[in-house]
Amino acid sequence: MKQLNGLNITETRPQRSDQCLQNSELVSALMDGALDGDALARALDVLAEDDSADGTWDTYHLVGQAMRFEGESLQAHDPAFVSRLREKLAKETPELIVASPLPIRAEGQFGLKKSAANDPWWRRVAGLASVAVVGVLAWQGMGWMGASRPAETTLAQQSVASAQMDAPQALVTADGAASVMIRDPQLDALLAAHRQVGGANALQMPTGFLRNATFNEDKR
Amino acid sequence: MPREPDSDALLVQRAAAGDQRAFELLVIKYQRRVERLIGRMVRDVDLVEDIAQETFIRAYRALHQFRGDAQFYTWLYRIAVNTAKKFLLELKRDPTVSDSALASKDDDDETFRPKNEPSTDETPESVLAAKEIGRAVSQALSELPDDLRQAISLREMDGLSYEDIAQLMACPIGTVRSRIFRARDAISAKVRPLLERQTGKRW
Repeated sequence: MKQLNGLNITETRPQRSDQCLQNSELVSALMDGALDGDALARALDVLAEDDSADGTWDTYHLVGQAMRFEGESLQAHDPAFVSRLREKLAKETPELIVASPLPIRAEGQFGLKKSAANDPWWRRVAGLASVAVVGVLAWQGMGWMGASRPAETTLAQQSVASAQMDAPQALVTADGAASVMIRDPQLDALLAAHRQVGGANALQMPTGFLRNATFNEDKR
Repeated sequence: MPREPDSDALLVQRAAAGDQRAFELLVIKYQRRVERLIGRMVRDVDLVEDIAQETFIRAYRALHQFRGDAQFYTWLYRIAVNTAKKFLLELKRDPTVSDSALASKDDDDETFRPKNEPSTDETPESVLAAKEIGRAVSQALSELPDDLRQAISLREMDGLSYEDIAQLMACPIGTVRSRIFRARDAISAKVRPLLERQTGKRW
């Protein structure tokens, strides 16, 4: 009588080879979802060569059903049914999909829950986000178009008026691009200390046109 | 209800990539359950098997549509119900099928029922066999060493993963896998003769 970790195995399976036992252990791991990737592929290949694998797979599942008392009748599968189906499936050409590196999400798979980037939920979020962005851009574009026309008019009127009074000023007003002042604390301190040189508005943000620059130039 | 431990998602993935063997394992696992489901809608035993075959063929064709949002059996269940309904509709529309053809041989009997009337799949024999198998499993489980009994119970009844069981039992995952296998194999050895008597087949 042989003991294996306290379990008497000679009484229950006296004629089974090591290979058969190994295959049965593969079946057990397979039904628990403990094999994936290459290990799963290898196991399926090995079990395809083992005539007893189908019976082992079926019996192990029936044992699980019986333990869980699912209230169903416990009946082994019909090998003839599978044979007939196999012949029919051989004539089928299933629409193959590329095996994804991500496992298919299922409730029974150890609570594994991974959502792919092309998940419908993400698609909806991306769609809504793009619509929102387009809406904001359109709204801003309309605002700019509406606001820029009066500004251009004013600018033109001022330019014409300035040109009549002082030619050099008109040249400077051509530069109407808004700009952001880059502040240098040391420069600001220096200009504040020498206001008579830099002008009163040296520390202010520049306006759309540099009318003071030409004006101060004349004063020098 | 404990979650049923399975590897359906992995097998579906393999089958959808063209591995017919992976699909056959799913067929073996669910054949009887699908037949019982169809048997509740269709009385004709021959028709039940035809519809079950058609169900699995349709499922095979549509595997790429299975997104894993539900369990595989839930998906298969819908296909089986739809296939059975379609069969019944076609049978009613078929002008070559007369009422007498649909009727059973002993239609003179006052207990006669049309073939397509829903019926229960349970027979006294199947109930008895299930009870017998249940008792054998309980007996085999009680005879297992404690570590094997605990491992298989945590897996099959509580639906825990190998990682969880390894933590609970303070042992490596490889040991968990081995204990569960040995427990299953020992119980199966007691159940197998009963199944052989049921089907007349020796594994």
